[in-house]
Amino acid sequence: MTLASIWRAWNEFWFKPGSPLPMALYRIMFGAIMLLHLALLAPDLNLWYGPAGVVSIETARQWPFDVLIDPLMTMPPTEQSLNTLIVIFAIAAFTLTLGLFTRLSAIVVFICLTSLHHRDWAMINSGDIFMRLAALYLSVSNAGRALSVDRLIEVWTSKELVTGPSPPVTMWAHRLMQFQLCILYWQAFWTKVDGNTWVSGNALYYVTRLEDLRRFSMPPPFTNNLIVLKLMTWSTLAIEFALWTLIWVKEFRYWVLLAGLCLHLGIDLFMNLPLFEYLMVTVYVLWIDPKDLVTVMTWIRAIAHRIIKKPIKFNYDSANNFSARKAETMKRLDIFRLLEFVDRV
Amino acid sequence: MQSDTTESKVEMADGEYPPLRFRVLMSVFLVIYLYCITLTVCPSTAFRNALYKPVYPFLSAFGFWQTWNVFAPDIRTDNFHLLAIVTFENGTTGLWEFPRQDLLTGIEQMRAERFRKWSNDRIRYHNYTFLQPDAARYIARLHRNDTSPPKTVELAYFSADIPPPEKGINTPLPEHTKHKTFFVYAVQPEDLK
Repeated sequence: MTLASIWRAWNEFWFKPGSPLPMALYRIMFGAIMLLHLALLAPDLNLWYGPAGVVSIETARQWPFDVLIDPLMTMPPTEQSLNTLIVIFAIAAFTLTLGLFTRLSAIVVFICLTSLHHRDWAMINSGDIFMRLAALYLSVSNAGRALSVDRLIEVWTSKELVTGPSPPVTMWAHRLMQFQLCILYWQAFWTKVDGNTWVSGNALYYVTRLEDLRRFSMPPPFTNNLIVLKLMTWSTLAIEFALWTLIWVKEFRYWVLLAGLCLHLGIDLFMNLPLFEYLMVTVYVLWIDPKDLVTVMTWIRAIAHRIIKKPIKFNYDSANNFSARKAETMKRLDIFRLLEFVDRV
Repeated sequence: MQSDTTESKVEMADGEYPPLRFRVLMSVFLVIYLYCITLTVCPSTAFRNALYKPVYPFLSAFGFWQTWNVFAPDIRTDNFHLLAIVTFENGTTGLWEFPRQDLLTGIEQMRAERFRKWSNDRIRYHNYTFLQPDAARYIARLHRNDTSPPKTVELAYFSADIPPPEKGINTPLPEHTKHKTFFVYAVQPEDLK
């Protein structure tokens, strides 16, 4: 091993250009979760963040951290300030989902989340923390370079007509997000093995008996069988371990992701931790090979073609600037390949 | 012309890396950032804490702080529900129960999860005592009454230990019969505004 080989490997890991498709897909799912998050918060905004909220502004200022950009705590403490922030947040979440002004939208979402978390830290959970960090990583990523309105705007604003799929982009933000997920599972794993209930295999026995966290009751063959509960406890540890180690090995990756998916969907079914599990499993898309995403898209297109048997003809004139740009816009929108483009030239 | 989900250009030639200057600067940032967040999630030891102290203000200021000790190191081994006893000036009392997840379903349950986090995971515990006066004031405001305003608010809970696995595996969970008042607040007139 030499310094040059380390630098080469470092460069390849962080900066080797790749497809923006996984990050774009993640952006869409993340934006949708943000909108859902706001919908769930909407009825109780004043309760949590209002001037007479359950945590007073004076108490909020005593949190052991101080945020640099904090619009909610900077603006006058009124309901109007809160509503303004929430409206801005909702617009940014919506435009982020569409991929319109993607980076700006993600920055705004990040600032709004940070400010809300600072205002009321008492009711946030790990899912909220993950949301904030994901918004940050999206703001520095190339998530708007595919499947976005930004890509459509590009057709009309570029001097020369840019055609074809999005060119590969630098991957450092994508890698950072992958690294973040591993950090998460790393700490989740090590803090658990530090506890008696997890190592002894009794953790799931207690989890299934916590009344305030229960969504649906687990069937008795599971909850009343100590051997099954112990196996489930140790499986949780094994899956969390694999999600920061074996996930890097290509041959194991999809199996590990599948196990992680089963773990989180299982938790979501039996425990009431709204959005947390969705936030975890959606980020798995960043581990999928873009070629496999394209393969899945090809299957979906084949189904679409079976439904709409004959493609719709779209005539355009490649010699005419307006017509060519219009055709390129349609091509970017036609994700199911339902149009047949006919160049009149 | 193809849309973003097309096979071509999924990978690119080695020659199209970002400029060297960008990669060097970004590498410096990445090393510092990874150092900081790795420290954040490391177990708390004297050495780690000494290293973490100077980076904490930076993480905090930019909203990078994080913690992922979900259900760890140990799971809670009791069930409980919180309530508040409000005593009014005329000597009468009122009982107010925090929303109980076990009595809710569907969207109501999802919405009340924030309440559960605030009440069950925070204000009940001694390391969050600074949240208790605000909670009491909030409950006092809910019971505003001009003729006989709230005088005191007691925060209490009823609980039941979950029996150890060898005893509790095939038995129903016990009723919440243990009672504890953990905070009493004398309401001031300005609290009700």
